Amino acid sequence: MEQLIERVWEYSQKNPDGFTLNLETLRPVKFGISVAYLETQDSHGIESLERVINHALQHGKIVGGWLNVENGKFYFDSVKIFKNSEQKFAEAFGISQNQIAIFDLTNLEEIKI
Amino acid sequence: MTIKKNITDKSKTLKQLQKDIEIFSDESCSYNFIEHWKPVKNLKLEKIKTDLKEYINFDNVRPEIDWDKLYEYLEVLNNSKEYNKLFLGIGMMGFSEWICEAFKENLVSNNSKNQDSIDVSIKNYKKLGFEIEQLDNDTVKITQKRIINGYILNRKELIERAKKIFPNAKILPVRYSLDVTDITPEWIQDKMKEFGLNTNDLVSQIALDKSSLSLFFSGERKMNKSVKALFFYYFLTYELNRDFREHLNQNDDSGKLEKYKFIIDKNSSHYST
Repeated sequence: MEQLIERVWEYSQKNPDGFTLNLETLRPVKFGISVAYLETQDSHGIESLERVINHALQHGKIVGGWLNVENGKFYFDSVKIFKNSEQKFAEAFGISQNQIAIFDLTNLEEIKI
Repeated sequence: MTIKKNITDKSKTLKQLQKDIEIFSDESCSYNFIEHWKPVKNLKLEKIKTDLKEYINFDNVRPEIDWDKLYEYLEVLNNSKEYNKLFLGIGMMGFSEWICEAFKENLVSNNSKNQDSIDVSIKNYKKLGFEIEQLDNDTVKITQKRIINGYILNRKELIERAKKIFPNAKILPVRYSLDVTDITPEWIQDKMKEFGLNTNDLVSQIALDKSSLSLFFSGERKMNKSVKALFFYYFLTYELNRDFREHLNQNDDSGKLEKYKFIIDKNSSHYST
């Protein structure tokens, strides 16, 4: 676990604008719609990574990191990836997770819900 | 808020007032003011009407004015961020400073919020590799600086992105331009390793002969920009191919029942499969 935390942390330092990372391959996820889980909301700083990674390992193995440009904080999330053709399900899932927006990785667009 | 109920120059009709502004614009500005008369989408006329009616019932004060046209005019100026002209225009129309003040508080406050939201959008686009720059009131430049997730936008797509933030601006799109300085023999060999390719694969697939490849790899021959770009896009194709297939296969493996369990749990008929 410590090694994984370290790898994700390093990856976040190299990608300060944000990323979506597959924990199995340690490669970025480039396609689909990313929706964050409620359980890992408001996680920032390396100390939050263990909780986020633990959750991700049990739910799809994808971790997202994003910079909130309004407060300058970098947040980590365990995220679920949907196909683009499943946008309505992604939106429904986002609503069920109290999210106000989800992110279309394929088209690089935020989708407000 | 101070409201001075002294409307000056009551004798002028709206048409005369418009003409005044047109003359003023032609004489004092290099800008054709009248262009902003053309109808724009999403006018918030009702909001302006409501706000104005809070201060005074204009219909009783100046019945000769076509108020709908006036509201539209003010909204157009506001949308185009011509604040100086907006306030001056209102003043010239004979409403004097009290109405300017009434508008100013509301419009500046709204536009300050709008500007904050524009700044956030620009910063968010920057995170995605797009730099958006306001060159002047009418022109916005959008440049794709980085490729994120393998997505290279064309001119039309760049314009569409910028239009989402600046719907009325003229957009100057600058396409992604590849910086080849990082494409070195080491970079190429790392990529070959990553995708399990050997020299023979490259010979077959990118029409370079074996001896040229050897010279490039040993550093005896320098790669020109075109050769470097060729390698970049060649490996990008492999990368996207691999990642796209991985994405499709992963989704297929996850199982629809499990994936949409949350919908069943929530008894959501609206989104039910």
